Amino acid sequence: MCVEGRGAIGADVEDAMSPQDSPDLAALLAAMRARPSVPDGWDAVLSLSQSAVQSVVRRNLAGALQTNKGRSLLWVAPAQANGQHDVVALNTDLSPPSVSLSVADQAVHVSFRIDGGTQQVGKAPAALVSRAADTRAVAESGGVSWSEPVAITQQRPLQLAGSLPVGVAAAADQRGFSIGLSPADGRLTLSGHDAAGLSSPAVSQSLGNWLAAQKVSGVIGSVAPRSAGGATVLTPASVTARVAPSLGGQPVLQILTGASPGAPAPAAGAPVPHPDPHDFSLIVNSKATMTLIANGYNLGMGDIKLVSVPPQDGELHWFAQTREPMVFEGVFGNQDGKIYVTDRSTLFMRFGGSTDQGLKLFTFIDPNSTVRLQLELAAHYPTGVSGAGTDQVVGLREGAQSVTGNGFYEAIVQPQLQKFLTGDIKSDMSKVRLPAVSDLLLRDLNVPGYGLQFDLTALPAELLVAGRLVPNA
Amino acid sequence: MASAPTLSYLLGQMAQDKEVLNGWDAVLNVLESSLNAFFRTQFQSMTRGAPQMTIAQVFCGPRLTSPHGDYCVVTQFSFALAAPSFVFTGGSNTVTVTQAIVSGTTRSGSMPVGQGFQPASCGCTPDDSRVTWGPVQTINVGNHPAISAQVQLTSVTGLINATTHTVVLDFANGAFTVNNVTLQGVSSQDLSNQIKSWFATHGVKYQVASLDFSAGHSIPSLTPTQFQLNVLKTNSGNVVVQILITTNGRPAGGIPIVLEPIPTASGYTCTLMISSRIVFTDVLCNGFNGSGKPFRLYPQSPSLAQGYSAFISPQMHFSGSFSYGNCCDRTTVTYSLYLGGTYSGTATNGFHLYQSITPSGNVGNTITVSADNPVSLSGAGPSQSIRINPQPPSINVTGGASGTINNELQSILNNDFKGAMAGLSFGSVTYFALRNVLFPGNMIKMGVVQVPTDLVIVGTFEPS
Repeated sequence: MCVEGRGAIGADVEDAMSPQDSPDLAALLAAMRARPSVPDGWDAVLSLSQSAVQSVVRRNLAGALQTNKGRSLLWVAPAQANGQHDVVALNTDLSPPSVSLSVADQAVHVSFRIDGGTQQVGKAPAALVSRAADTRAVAESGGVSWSEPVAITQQRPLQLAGSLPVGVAAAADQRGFSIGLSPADGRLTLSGHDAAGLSSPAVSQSLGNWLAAQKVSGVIGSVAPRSAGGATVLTPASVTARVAPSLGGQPVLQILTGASPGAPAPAAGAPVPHPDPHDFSLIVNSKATMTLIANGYNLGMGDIKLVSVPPQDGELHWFAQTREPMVFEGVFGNQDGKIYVTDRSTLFMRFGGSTDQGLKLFTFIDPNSTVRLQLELAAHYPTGVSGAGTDQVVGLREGAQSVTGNGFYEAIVQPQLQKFLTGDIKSDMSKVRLPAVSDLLLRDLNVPGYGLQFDLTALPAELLVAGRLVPNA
Repeated sequence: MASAPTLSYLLGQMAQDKEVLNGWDAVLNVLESSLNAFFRTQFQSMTRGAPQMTIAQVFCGPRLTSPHGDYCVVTQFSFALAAPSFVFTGGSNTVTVTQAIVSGTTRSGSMPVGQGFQPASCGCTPDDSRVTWGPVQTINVGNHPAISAQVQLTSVTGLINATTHTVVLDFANGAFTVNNVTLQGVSSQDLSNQIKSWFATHGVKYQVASLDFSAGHSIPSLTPTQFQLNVLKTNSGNVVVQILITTNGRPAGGIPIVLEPIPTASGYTCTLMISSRIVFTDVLCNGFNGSGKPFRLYPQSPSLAQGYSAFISPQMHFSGSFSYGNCCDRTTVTYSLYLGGTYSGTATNGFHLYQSITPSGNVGNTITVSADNPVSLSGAGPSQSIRINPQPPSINVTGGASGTINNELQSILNNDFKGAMAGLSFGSVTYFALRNVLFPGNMIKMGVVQVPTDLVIVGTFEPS
């Protein structure tokens, strides 16, 4: 795991973190190691922290919060009483709302505190309301019988609050998906000190039209294949979103992407990993991760090539292994040609995640082998980030390698293993880059008004990239 | 300070210096005291059990002239001699024999002779009536009179049979002197000559040891064809008579380099050493190779000083490959390693088998095999025999292959090597020790047999 700033992978950075530095992070990586984090059928999960969502929502609302310049907030009660409809009008500048995520409602809660401006109530004849095109037409018809405006003060504040469901919709350009709030489906309720004046059913109605009229965007993010390099194993073909609790107890907005359509809806409820206090985190499932690593490795010049392999032998995660086995054959006989024993051992080098050392080597011996070579192979390749801005790339860097084995056959094999472990494999593995991750995060994903800065990478089994939202210039 | 002549010292030196016989095929080492015991037995046999040997001689002097006519002096003596003492001298084949005169008389007289008288053929007998005898004189034993002789060790055949060569002290060839005895009118030289004449006439010989040159049931390399004698006085003071034996080799120029050939401090009085060439070539290898096993042993000797050992053929062979890469471009590294083995001598553990991988590249001694094959004795008297008691091998194989290779090596060693070693015959060796090498009235009682490169049988003597 590594957190890096700009520059080549492997460069030292001041804010580097490790699980030892952060017990919470170590626990998170252990949890990721203990079980897959990306739901079945999905390839990657982008989690946005509550504060990140708030930033985006506030940015979306910026410019639409001034209501006292001829664009008052209006409510007209849907039902008449005594032949009249209650009408409520607020003239005020809305402050940036507080935003929170609701796991229970799968929605974003927004809350505006109103401590300035005026409120005014009135009565509109039922006939007027029935023939008016919209609420504002009612209010501006001149047929409303208004009371005197009442000043809203800090001592007598009002609150406009409610939930906006999170949803995914086809993007406007039909090339991707838009993830965000559904204002039309949200309900903002006005409440305040003067409860009597606000008790009308008029104030408990959707403000969708008002929001729409204000050209307020509910988009928190959009995902569309925008990279020029063609589709990768992470190019989104299906997207869904949900609000889930994090392991740290904070809710996060998750955007799940799948490279193939038709992924099942993820089960909700279980806490999900997200390294607080990072604004975002991306977890790529082990299948996609190992495929990317194998593909990246195979671009190297070494004889040995890798392939990603599904979990086996009780393992939970995909891993990469040598495409072709290493085969040791031993014959024990004598100079006269008599053969006493023939041994064969088929070995694979496997590479899987680890909670502390990035990609880690382990060996697998085919159970049909007649001899189990007692070799201790150790190698690891920490993850890291190179580049800056839109050129940020997650990759592997050089770690330590060693091969020990003091037995008879082992002494024969050991130098060869040592040779290519510290040769081709070391060279090719340290050059592995995962541009598909960059494509997904930096090109396919768009968070309105923000770019993504990678601050943390780890490979407990699935790939974890986390960082900050950086306002676009 | 001289090292005590212990068994461990002997075996240690032989194991350290390897080929200690210096080119001789076999060497028999006998302690002087043992030979003296043999001589005493033979003395008693000659005297029929009497403690003394009486020698008597009558001899005539030259013709003398007097007014009464020509005559000669006739002398007769009779000495009772005590048992002889034999003193061997280092570096010499001559033995000093001394016999005290414990009683005796002398008498002289005159006898008329004529022209042409020859003293040697005067024909006088004790108390001859032709002689006018003087009074009988008694030897004064208070003067410790004695006769001594320098007698050379010589070899004769026919004492036992036609093929047996016996090392003897033949008194007929001795150079005698008489001490503290004076006979009037007789020179010391004449007296000595008369004594020598008596021993020659009576055929007094003492046997040291015999070598039977007949092959019998043995093998050429353990059938004596020549021998030499050497007397060695060791640093510890032991006087050792060495019979340096040639069988099918060639006589060596030097003498064995064993400092204390007989471990007298451990109670032994003789040793028989057999060259490692014969032991490894004709006993170990030929015996092993006759067992019908798939392995054979071959003698090897990097130098004369190193002596012999035996190597195993065929060597065990480990070969194989390690391949890696992709389907179409695999790298294959092959290996071929040999597990050779040798049997070599040890101070106390008999023939020691040691096998190890011939190091190659990164592969060192990752397989080693060792096993002791101690040599032991059984039986008694002429039925004494030597055999090998092979011990379980110790196999050291490390790594993942240790199980299978260990098991297979165990099987091979137990079936092919252990069995062949257990069946090894030392009949030719015991035949040599008990039948080719003979001692007067005695035989070697083997106490210890070891193979500290040359084979050594350490023992004492017992009546045959």
